[in-house]
Amino acid sequence: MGACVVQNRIRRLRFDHGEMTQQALADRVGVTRQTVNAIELGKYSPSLEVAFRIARVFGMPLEDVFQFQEQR
Amino acid sequence: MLTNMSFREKSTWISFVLLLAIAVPFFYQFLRIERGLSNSRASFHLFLFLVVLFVVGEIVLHAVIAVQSPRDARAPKDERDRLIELKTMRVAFFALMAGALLVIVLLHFPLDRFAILQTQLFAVVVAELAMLGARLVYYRRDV
Repeated sequence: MGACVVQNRIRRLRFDHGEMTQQALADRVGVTRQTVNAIELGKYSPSLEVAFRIARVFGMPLEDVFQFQEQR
Repeated sequence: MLTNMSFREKSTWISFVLLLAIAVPFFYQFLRIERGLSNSRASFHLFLFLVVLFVVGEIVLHAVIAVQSPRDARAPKDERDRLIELKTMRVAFFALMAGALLVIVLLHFPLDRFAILQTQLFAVVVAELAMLGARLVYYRRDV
């Protein structure tokens, strides 16, 4: 089994939602701005709860925000 | 880079630098005592001074960063902060265990109780520095 990578479209979605700032998203999700930044950069994979909260902010299904990819 | 740091990352930097700043002169003084260049009374006074310096430094510097970003300072720890804490506690545990084992080994050598006690204290400080250092690394790299 290869390494697994969780990618996301948060930066793009923030831009599409009125250029929402990382701080604004962080406030709505209940994490720090630095955590949102780490998630966007793929440095941190959020818990399911936070992932669902982020998807809910953008009004999208989870899989439209986060993509799970297995690297071979 | 400072503006990009969270309150907790700045707080960790403060504790790391302050602890290092008081640990170096304290253990240097211990080495001086071991070489007969100073006495334990002077060491005790230095210890008290450094503890006061550490506590005052922590309070003042944390107050400064809290004033700079009050909302960030009031915010509770999020899941990434808690995960980083848990991972770095593990680092501290292994450092402390290594120190404890070192003390057990040293008990079999003809050393005085003062030296054994200082070694134990050194292990505690190294474990704390390892934990804070690992925390700083995790705040910048993948968790």
